[in-house]
Amino acid sequence: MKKKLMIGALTALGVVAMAPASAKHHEEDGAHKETNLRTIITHERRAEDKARDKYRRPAQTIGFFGIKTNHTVVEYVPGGGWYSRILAPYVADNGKFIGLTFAPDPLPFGDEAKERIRNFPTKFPNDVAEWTGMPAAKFTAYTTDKVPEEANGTADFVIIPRMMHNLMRWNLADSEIKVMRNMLKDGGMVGIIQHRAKDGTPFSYADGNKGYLRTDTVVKFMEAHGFELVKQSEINANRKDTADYPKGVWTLPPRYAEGDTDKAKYAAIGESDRMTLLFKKLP
Amino acid sequence: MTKKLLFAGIATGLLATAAVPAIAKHHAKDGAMHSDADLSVVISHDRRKDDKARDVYRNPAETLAFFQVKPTHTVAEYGPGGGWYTRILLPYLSSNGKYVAINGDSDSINFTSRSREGRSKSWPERFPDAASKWTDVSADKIAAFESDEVPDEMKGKIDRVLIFRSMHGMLNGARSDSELQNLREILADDGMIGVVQHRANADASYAMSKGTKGYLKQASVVALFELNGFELVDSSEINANPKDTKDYEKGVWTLPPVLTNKDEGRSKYQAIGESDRMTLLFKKRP
Repeated sequence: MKKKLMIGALTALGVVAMAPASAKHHEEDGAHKETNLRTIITHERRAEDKARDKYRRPAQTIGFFGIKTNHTVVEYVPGGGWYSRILAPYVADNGKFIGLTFAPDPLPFGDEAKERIRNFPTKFPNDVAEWTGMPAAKFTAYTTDKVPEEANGTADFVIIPRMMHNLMRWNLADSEIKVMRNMLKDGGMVGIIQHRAKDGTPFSYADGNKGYLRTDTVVKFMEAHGFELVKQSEINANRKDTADYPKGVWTLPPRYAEGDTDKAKYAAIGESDRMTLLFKKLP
Repeated sequence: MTKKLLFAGIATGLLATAAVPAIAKHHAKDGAMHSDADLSVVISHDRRKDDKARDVYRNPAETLAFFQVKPTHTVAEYGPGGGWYTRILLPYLSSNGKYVAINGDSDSINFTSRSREGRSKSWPERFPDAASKWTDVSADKIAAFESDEVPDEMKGKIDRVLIFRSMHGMLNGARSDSELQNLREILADDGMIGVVQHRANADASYAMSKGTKGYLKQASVVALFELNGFELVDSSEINANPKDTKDYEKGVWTLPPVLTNKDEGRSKYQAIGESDRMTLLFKKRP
């Protein structure tokens, strides 16, 4: 009898250790434990997203970055929302999810595309609401030229998934990183996932126009803008990627820029080799 | 006797050859004794009488020698401002080389007033006349462009780009990326970029070294060039000043020549002199 009680206590402890405080709260309400990353990643809303999990490793990546459910998380250029469908529900209850995208004016895009980007702050919260079934009012979105003063110094984490090459090749790097830095709290973190060129790749291939950047380029860029590298991981590495295709990273899945030419070969390689870097905002 | 004289003659000849660049020698043959292609002649010229006081801090002869600037070069001066270096470079290059003035792309600048914007946009038209007045070099020999408007036929033909104390402005304006890319495009494949920049301490905080105080970390400047497709060739302490404490509330402008605090602490700041500066030479990497 006494023994049984002890097992009961251990089980209770186990539950407490595994589920964050808010999930417990939800359980009491009878809702889904959306703050549990595993629940989110296996959610049926991700039915179409899951195929890429083996390349993008969201659970390990978020774990490595140390993103917590009570964090204010800024996702930089969410695009189709692949990471938003994980991060938004993960922090929606106890933290805050903010989508951030390019300042439209300096982009090398046509007027229509720029107009779409101008509409991002109104459209994105509704998109996230539709994807997640959560109210749009929980989500915020800005373009980098219109971040309100009160949003500065509020973010715990900025995640930049596969976007550094565009910042470099479109000459947006200086201005965009400044905005992200301003949004971060002191000591806030930036997580970067980026297609990785081999060390020593010439600038002509690794200037961003092929999608790949050298790790030292990304680290130097962040250091020059007031961040320090905390740690890096091989979670998103892919040794089969030769990172030397004439059409760049878009040769590989999911894009297959060469069409049917050598498609099987590129499918066998899989998505690109990627660096995974964690930076801290310096005072 | 014969031997001694002959030896002295050879020695003098050698000295003369070593001290005077080829171009000055050519001028001397034409009978022009004081050639502007001789840097020492340019630096000691009357037109620089108001500029000379700063030579002790700016070390133009040593700096241009370190940047390996030749009188036959096409040299782009980035952000010539009041023309202190223009009054050296333009006469030096006018006979056998070419001087080009470059300012940043005004489309990437957020202007605080219409008059500032107007002044900036009209600069390429105004600069040749101004520089001509300073130097008596004919205005039609002076080219001035914004960095994104350099004509195609000049792209890849510039031997040297010289950036004197302008890197902090690029970073403050969040346009080191676009400006360095523009400069990379105009530089010859074997060309080089020389940089002189106010230097923050290596362990300075970001707040003191991000550019708003005028100072940058040397490592940050090297990093910016590397990630924009350059590599460091060499660095020099020619323009260093160990007396500069670099911790002034109002930044580098606290020191001479600006002395932004006016009479407050003037003698202290004058004793320090102009800022501590890095002097860096970069080349394109493939």
